[in-house]
Amino acid sequence: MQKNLYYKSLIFLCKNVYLTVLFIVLMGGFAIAQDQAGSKLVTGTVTDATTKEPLFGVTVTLKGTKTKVITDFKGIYSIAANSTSVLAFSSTGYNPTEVTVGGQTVIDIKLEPSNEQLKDVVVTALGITKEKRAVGYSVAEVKGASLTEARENTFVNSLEGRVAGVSVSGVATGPNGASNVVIRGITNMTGNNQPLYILNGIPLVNNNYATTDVGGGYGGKDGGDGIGDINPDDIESVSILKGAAATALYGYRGSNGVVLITTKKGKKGEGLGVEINSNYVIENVIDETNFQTEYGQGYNNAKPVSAADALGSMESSWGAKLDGSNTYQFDGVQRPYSEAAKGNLGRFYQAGGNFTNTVSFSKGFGDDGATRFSVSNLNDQSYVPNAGLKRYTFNQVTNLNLDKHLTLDLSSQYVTEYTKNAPNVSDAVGNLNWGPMFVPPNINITTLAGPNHNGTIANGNELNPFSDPYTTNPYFAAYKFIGAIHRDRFTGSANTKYTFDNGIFMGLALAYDYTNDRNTNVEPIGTGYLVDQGITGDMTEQNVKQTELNLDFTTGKKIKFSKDFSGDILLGVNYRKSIQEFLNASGQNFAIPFLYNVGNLENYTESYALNKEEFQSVYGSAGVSYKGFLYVTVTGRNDWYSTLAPGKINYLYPSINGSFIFSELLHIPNLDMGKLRFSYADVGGAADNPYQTLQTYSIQGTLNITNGIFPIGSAGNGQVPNSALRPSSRSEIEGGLELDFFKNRLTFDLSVYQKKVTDDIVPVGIDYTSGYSSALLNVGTLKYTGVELELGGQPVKTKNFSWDIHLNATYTKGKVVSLGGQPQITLGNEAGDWGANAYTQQVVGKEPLQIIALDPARDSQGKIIIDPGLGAPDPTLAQPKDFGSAISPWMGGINNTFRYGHFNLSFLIDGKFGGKLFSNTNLIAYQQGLSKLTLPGRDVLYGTNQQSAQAYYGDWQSANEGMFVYDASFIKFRQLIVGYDFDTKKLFNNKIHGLRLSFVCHNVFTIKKHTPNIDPESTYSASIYTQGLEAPAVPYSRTLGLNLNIKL
Amino acid sequence: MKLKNIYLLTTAFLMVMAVACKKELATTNTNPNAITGDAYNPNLLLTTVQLNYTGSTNFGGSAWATKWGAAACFIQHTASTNAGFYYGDKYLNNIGAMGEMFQDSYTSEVQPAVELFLLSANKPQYRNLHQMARIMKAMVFEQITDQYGDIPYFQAGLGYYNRIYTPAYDKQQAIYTDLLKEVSQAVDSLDENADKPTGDVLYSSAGDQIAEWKQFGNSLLVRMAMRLTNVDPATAKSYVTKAAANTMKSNDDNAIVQHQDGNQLTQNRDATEIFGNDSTDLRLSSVLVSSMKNNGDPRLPVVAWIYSTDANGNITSDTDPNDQLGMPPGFIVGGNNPQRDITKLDSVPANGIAGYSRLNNNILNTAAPTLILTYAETEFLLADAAKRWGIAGDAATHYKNGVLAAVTQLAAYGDAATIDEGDALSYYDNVAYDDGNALAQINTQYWLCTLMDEYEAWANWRRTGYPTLQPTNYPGNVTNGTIPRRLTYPPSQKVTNLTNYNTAVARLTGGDKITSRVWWDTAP
Repeated sequence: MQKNLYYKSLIFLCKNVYLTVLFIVLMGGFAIAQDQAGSKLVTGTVTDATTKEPLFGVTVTLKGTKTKVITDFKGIYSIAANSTSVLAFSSTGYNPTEVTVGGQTVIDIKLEPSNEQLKDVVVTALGITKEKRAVGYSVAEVKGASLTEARENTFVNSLEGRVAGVSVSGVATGPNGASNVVIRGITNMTGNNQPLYILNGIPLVNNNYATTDVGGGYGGKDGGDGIGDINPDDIESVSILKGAAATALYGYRGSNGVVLITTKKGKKGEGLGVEINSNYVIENVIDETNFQTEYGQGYNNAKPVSAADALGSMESSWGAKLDGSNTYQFDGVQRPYSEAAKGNLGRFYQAGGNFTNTVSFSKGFGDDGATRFSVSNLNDQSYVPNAGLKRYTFNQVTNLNLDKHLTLDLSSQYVTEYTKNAPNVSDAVGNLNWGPMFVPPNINITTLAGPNHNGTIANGNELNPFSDPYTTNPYFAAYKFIGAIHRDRFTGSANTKYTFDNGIFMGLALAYDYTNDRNTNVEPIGTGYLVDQGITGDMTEQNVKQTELNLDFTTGKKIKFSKDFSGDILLGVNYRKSIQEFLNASGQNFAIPFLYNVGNLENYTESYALNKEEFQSVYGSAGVSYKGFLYVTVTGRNDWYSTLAPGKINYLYPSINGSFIFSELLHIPNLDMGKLRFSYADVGGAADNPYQTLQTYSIQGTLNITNGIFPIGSAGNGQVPNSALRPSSRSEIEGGLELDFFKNRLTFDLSVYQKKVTDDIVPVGIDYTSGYSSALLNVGTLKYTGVELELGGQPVKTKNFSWDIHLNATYTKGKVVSLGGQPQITLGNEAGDWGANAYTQQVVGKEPLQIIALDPARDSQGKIIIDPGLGAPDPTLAQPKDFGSAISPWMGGINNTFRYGHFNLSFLIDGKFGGKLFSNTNLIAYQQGLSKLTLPGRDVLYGTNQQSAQAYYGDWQSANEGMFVYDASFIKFRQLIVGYDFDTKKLFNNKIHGLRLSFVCHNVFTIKKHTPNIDPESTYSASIYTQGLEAPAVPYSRTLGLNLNIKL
Repeated sequence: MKLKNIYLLTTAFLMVMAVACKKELATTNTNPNAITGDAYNPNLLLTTVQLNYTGSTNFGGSAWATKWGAAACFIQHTASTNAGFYYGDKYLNNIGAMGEMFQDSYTSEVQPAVELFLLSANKPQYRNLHQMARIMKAMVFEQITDQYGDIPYFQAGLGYYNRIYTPAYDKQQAIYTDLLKEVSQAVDSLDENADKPTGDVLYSSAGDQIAEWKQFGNSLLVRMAMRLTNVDPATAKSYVTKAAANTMKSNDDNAIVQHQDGNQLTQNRDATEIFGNDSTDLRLSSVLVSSMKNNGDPRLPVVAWIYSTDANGNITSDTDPNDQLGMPPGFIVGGNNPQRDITKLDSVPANGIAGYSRLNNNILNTAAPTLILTYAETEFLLADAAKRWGIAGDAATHYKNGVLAAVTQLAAYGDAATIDEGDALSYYDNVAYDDGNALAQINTQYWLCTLMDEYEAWANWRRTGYPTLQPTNYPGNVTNGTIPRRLTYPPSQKVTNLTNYNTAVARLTGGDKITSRVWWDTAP
């Protein structure tokens, strides 16, 4: 009967590829019927032979049948058996024992712990677990527990500072912002550098639909990314594959590194198998501003004399010395002309609260497998006013041993998520972060809220306190703009493996990732700049559907050649298809006011776009080991990519890695393991986007006028296509040394690598007089050298007290070798409307991502030439200059954990060193006279032109943007956790099997930084085009709270 | 064993399926959202070029940054106390903004113009379309070179076809020589018996589209040729003589791009950038308003109004010509220099800068048409040529035609802007032709007529020196109190096209400054 169920399930599974995905969901909560047969009931207690403690979860099998039971938490079992039956007792970590029943009805068993220690294993490519000693490249593992307590909405942000070679930073764009994860440096000079994320074997689509204008600093918002959808409570472990050899089996998509996420599996354990985790944190803005407080609003040393005057100078702190006299403000009210802006950030941003609850159920079926199901609810009331994030996650993993040959692993996750108002960032349009940052020193930001407390005037229109209507009232931006993202995502995989008696296995894996995003953006009725244009509101409703299907077939065998030689072989085929569909409806002028529905728009257009990519691959791997101390593995993979030019679509790339356990030969005292490793790989790369090989023609819209209806044509998309696009190539050589001393009390892991990227597919920024802003070319050559060190130690270990310390340090040095004859490629610039002309560039001969800004004309001694008329440098003579790389060559972190009795305390300190950052916030503060640097000589007239301090500093600002390039180095006290594990045995008489309460704090404080007024890690998008360029975005925050974990 | 068989069968089935999907990957990479050039109707690009000639599609782009921020203020059609956005009012340096027109024109005008030109070439079915492409392309380039001088021309817009990524700058003389040749040849090649291009926003609904294009082309030729008045009068005369025989005959022949309200692409770009109804900080200049007031110009209540919004969002507007007040150029609000603080002026309105006249919503709104070349302008240019050189007919007649047409051409903006012939005639009496003062009269009227066509107004002033403007000397100005003669190249040229940029700058007397002059600008 039980077998029948399996067969039916399997046939159903096989019927249709797509239906299997549905099947995975259905599998979520299934249970297994238990046979009950036999003539008498045998009971007993199973205990540990050494500790005498009762053992829970021991499997008791009626040998030769499928009948089995599991001991309860008191170690008691009962099973129906005949007198001829043999009972088999088994449990992980104990030697199996068998007893013939005979005449007994009570059989107590003492199980001996097995002497065989669990071998140190790591998860490698394709989820294959390998003994650590057999792996010839660097793999970093992070346990899920370190991601759940002092958590972030996006779990990868918690990896910051923890892993050598992995640079992680969040993006300052609100509660559901993207993450920027770069492993071993930027290798895609202009494209995507984010790693490939694999969730239980499912490649996750990680597109970021930020609308931030990545090339020009003109605003927009971050739509979040794909990896943010994972619930940290579901994560068992994260394995990070850094080098090319480690990721070679993933093909080109693994070339930025691979993050393998393994979620918790069902297992037999104590109690009901229910675990509850509750996390509540409050989040508060950190005000890093330190602006001048001596001069107030106005122009050229004069304070406003009328309401109109005040309205015209809201973006100028070049007024008179603050004297406390009653002075007009933008709303016509006279208020004291004295300092009122300190604390504006704290007044505008609110106390955020983030409450996350996860409940999981776990059930083991003995030798038949196990299942786990979890539900999670996250509710983030962001510190950004009127913004937030709600997320429900359902996760299920079931592992079944259908019979001794066949296993079936089913994994699925459903996420439904609502981001309420992702804030606009960078330029001032709709950017709620702009006002609180830059209002003059005598303005209390709360006066901008107006009579309705939401930035509106009586008729509902924007109360616009700025002369430039494109600078939006922050309250109006917060309470009236709508920027909602609704996401529904399903990921599922079914993975079956059949192992023949001769050891050959065949595996078939199907993975599917489906995401549907609906993005609603409303520029409301009454928005200042729309009113000026006679537009009564506008709206965009966008639906983005993304799917990715992966089909993998693998076969292989482990082989023992002789007593000393053994090996394994694997062959695989992969087929991948990814589709993105964009359906857009947008328009202007709502017929019925304040009914924000696209159907209510008077002018309305729709558009549709479809992106398809298809990839086919074959791959193989063969490994040999000799006497357990010498291991060599070779792999090969050939990919065919649809995104390249016909005839140039495929690439074959090899890898080899090996390890030598020298401690097996040389017996060094206290050295448990000493390993040397080596690897080499070459990986090909495809173009990030489809349809880049041909010039294409389309229409952009229609002009409907009295002369007729005219479709408006367009040729190309601003980028010169490339009909000879070929794969890029990355080759990497890596060596490493691992040492374990004193039974893991001291561990040392050093990696050194060198990699080279050639033929990088780069949209070279070309001069726009060519008619295009870029041309897609295979021209980039880039080199990297890196050193990574991980040191672990347990200096103190006693019965009641222990101290663990883990240190990681990274050095990465890259160099752009060639750009096909071009001296540089321009990436992003901060031009905006704000006069800044800072760029990032890839410059031949220098480290990647150089920050370029204007430097004033200098004489032969390097002194700045002062124009006598201006009294300041002449901005027209300023020349762009290179101020260094945005990438920090050095980074590292130290994590300490102390345990004392039931208490434990851990804290993480991390830092990055040597990178540069251009700060537009500081430039604007200088331009507007807010910066303390503009204080000296406010009353002086400059140059023979007798220009005011405002004009004088204006010349300095536009001639010398290099002033606003800062050292972005920092050291931060990143995280603090103080936890207490309750003695559940005593307190709850074992009714509760674990209870842990922790106090958590993230972004505790900054120990050292060099960027005035801003956080050195502040970026407004995860795109490479904005790295190194800061612009007004959501200020940095600190979270503080409690985490409660209960195991039932 | 049954289980094993099912497993193997399923695996085999799925493998076959995967292999069966192995089709040409190139097919997957064919963009389903667009088509290729050979299947494309280039008429669609003519629409694009004509629309984009009226202003860039780039948000925050050239309409504000150069047309209104610079040219309109230089030529004192407008004034502003906002020294940042409307830096041209005070001849301040805003090198980023000054380059916007250059930057935007190449990607949103030159690129589609070159595509249109090449896709329509040597195809009998597009014979007339190709001539229109040549005329529009020349018109686009003329506007860029007039602002900046030497610019990339022969190699420009060829990033895709010739893989030229850093085009060389050509001398303005060579550019003008080619522009005149192109337009002249195109007009001669227009063929009544060939295609009637459907993408033509200007004249596709006219009775005789091809005849209209010949007149339009000839009028453009007159305008281009007259630019060379001072630097190469011989060439100017020869082209004017050739073209004058068949230029526009009435306002019915005006080249007008209509706009559709609704989005960035189709609507009036001036209104998008400087805000249709209240144009924020931009005001009509005192030079313009007093000139109109002094002569009883019937256009004043149509093009100007005083407009304000109170704190509750209530709007008041006033179009009474007697109430109109232009803003004097060269002032700011407040500041520590009382001579430059507009609020210290005796003439300042009670409600401050809100009391100065703005561009009326009649002519500045998101659906307003753009008049890109008109009969009136052509008549004024012919009057200038006739007066100067005694060619192309009678100066007085051309002048009168011009004045009447310039007043009545506002009808293109709708009924509210329509001025009847009688009012135009009475106005003519106020400004009647005076042979002793003809060039000043003609070109002052040209200046009034080209309100909204700011680049053209500024270029003609540089050519003729008329009307007499009132330069200001605001502290920190970079022209020593003189009206600027050109725009500086965008600073990004130093990054993306440095060598060619340096070559071009080396040819400029005085360097890349707004006081340096373009080749044709040699008037005293």
